[in-house]
Amino acid sequence: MIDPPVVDAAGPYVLASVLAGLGVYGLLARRNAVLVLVGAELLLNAVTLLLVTADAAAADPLLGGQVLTLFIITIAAAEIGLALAVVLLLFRRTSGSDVREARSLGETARPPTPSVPARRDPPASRTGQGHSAGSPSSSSSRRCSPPSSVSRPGAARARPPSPSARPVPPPRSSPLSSRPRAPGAGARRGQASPCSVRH
Amino acid sequence: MNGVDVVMAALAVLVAGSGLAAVTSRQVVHAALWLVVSLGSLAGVYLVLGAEVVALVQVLVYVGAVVVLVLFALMLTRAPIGRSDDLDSPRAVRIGAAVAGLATTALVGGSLLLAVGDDEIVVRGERGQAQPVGEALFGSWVLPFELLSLLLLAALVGALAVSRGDDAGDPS
Repeated sequence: MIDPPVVDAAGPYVLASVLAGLGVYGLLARRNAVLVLVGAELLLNAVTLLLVTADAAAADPLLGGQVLTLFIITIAAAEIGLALAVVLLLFRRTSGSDVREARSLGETARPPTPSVPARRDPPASRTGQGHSAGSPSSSSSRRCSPPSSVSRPGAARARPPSPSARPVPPPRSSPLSSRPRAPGAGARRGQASPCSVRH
Repeated sequence: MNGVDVVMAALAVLVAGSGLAAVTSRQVVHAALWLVVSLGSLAGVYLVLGAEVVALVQVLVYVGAVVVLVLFALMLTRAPIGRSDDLDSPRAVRIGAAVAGLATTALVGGSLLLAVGDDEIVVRGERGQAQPVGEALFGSWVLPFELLSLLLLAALVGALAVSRGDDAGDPS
């Protein structure tokens, strides 16, 4: 049996720090959402390299570094799947994958509709839809004045310049998806039906 | 500086160079493919460090699944083929990002080198083989492992719910 090889630990540590720096640069400098994810992957790999190196240097009897590396790889797979769904949703909303156009949750300097119900309605109408038993304030303020345009001001602002951004929903929701989720949709329609009557 | 150090240095240069190309490339598909090179050679680094199972899982999951998902995301979002200049932020933001990245590298690398940079790693390849890793994974780490299965399920359901689209949050 030959002697086990000996590696200088400085090399993997320096490599992990370089990967972390590259990941931070990729996260901050990219505008395409998928390429932002590439930066996040590099950052995660810096962490796993650090864990494997520390595990090998300390000769951990529980193999903590290697097992945690396996866990991080699993979490990264889950994260990239979920992030892909978010990127697709962003692409459907803005017809592009530029993260700087995703402003529908951001603070705006001046609100697009500066009236009072535009500020009060979105949380009230949203909670009123989600749960049947609402507090009296939410049920009183659930007036269902234009909910689709008010509840997301950023999305409402992003829609008019690109009318072809969402060509899918009307034909998709009518023939295909009305049958399979009849109970859930029926409950939701039942919640929303007094609003449509009042209009 | 023995032969293992030379292999480690070559792999490190490959990982860092392809990682740099992945975050600076002007073509989106090239960036994803440089990510394949970077993550694959990082699996080589794991092999040199004696973590055999981790290297195989890295190839299997990262190179096989994550990069394929990234390529699918590029395909589904109609990413531009060829050079495009709107992948990066403006020049001032890029300079700031480079400063932040260099500061991260200097901070992490400096503190690691000061703290544990003099260590010598005795590579024991038998620690990273399938049997010890499996015994550790399903012995002392079995509860986090089971929690991870819940997390994967939640991520799957969440991805379905998010990508189902607008009618979930849109009452009209």
